[in-house]
Amino acid sequence: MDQSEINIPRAEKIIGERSLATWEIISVFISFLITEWIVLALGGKFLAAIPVAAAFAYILVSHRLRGETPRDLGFRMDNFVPALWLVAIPTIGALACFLLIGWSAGGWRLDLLWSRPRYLLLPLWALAQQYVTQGFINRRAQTVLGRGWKSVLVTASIFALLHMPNLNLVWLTFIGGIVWAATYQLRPNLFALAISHTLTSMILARALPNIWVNSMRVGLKYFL
Amino acid sequence: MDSAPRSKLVQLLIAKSVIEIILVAGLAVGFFLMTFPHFEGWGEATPHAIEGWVVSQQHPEQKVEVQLFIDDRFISSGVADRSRPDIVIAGKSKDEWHGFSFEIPVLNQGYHVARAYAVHSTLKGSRKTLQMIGDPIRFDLDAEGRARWLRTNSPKATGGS
Repeated sequence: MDQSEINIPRAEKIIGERSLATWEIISVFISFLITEWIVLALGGKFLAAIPVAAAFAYILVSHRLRGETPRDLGFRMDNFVPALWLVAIPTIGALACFLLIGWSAGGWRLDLLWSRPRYLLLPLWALAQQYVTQGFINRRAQTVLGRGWKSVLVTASIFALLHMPNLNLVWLTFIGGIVWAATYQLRPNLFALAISHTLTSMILARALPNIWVNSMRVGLKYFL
Repeated sequence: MDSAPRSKLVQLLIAKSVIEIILVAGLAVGFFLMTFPHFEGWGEATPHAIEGWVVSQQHPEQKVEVQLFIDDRFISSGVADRSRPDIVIAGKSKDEWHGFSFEIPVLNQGYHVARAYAVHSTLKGSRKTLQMIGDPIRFDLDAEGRARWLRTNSPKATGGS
């Protein structure tokens, strides 16, 4: 037996750090695809909790075993204001575009914002999405590809693909994903990103004509 | 990262994949059994009607909803609850009340194709699937509006499926 072979720990012989991070990204991505395309359509919300819970459980264990703290992930306040400033200009720009396009197309349904209690949960939903996308996928993409435009594009692409087959949402979330992933790499703060995400998705859903966004449906439910 | 946590993550990824495979496979089998219809039946053209019978193999006592299409256009729907003693004799059902009959509407003279479909509803009627009953029913309509069934090589009406 070769001496170098003896010194290599078993797990490292099986899989390297970058391969493991790639596998983690693909696995979590597949969990959400299964939820959107199979379980929600065929099994309902109760069964849909299984792959979602499996993905979140894995993500949490992965953070723990890698020694990542909530602060590392972006659950922090020390860089909240700088992160908010960073994301403010693209967010305001997007909101202005949505409102202007929606107004010219006659799609405004802004009055419904106050009549739907589920919008109160939108900040939590946005925070959960940003946590998975940035706190997990973006961080693992940086492990594989390093910090910079490659990992930003991978993160944005995965975020956009999870909005298939709603093509208008796909390209909008791709652009949004680039902005959020780049902001996260500069100032990792999930609260600032969740505020931006909440505002843009709320105005997107209610300013643009519904036929353009199909009630924000994604996965197989888009067709149902 | 040390090798021990890495091994654990690999094991967890495999376990997560196994759970998801079992879930998807279970859903696929359940969806197939629940959604895809299992009907036996037959249809034919008589001089003024499209007639036949249909029995649900999952629920033999159930009176099946039937939809008629002629030349790929929806014509009518109804319930197969007419008397067909021949299907009891042929051993296709325990009771005779599974027949259907649709009057042929006003159509152009000449060749037409009718298809009768059994309707299968699941999830409280929110999902419907159709299964064609027997073969497409080809018929010629003469100037007086009488249909002449153009039989194929399929089995005869009673006992065919």
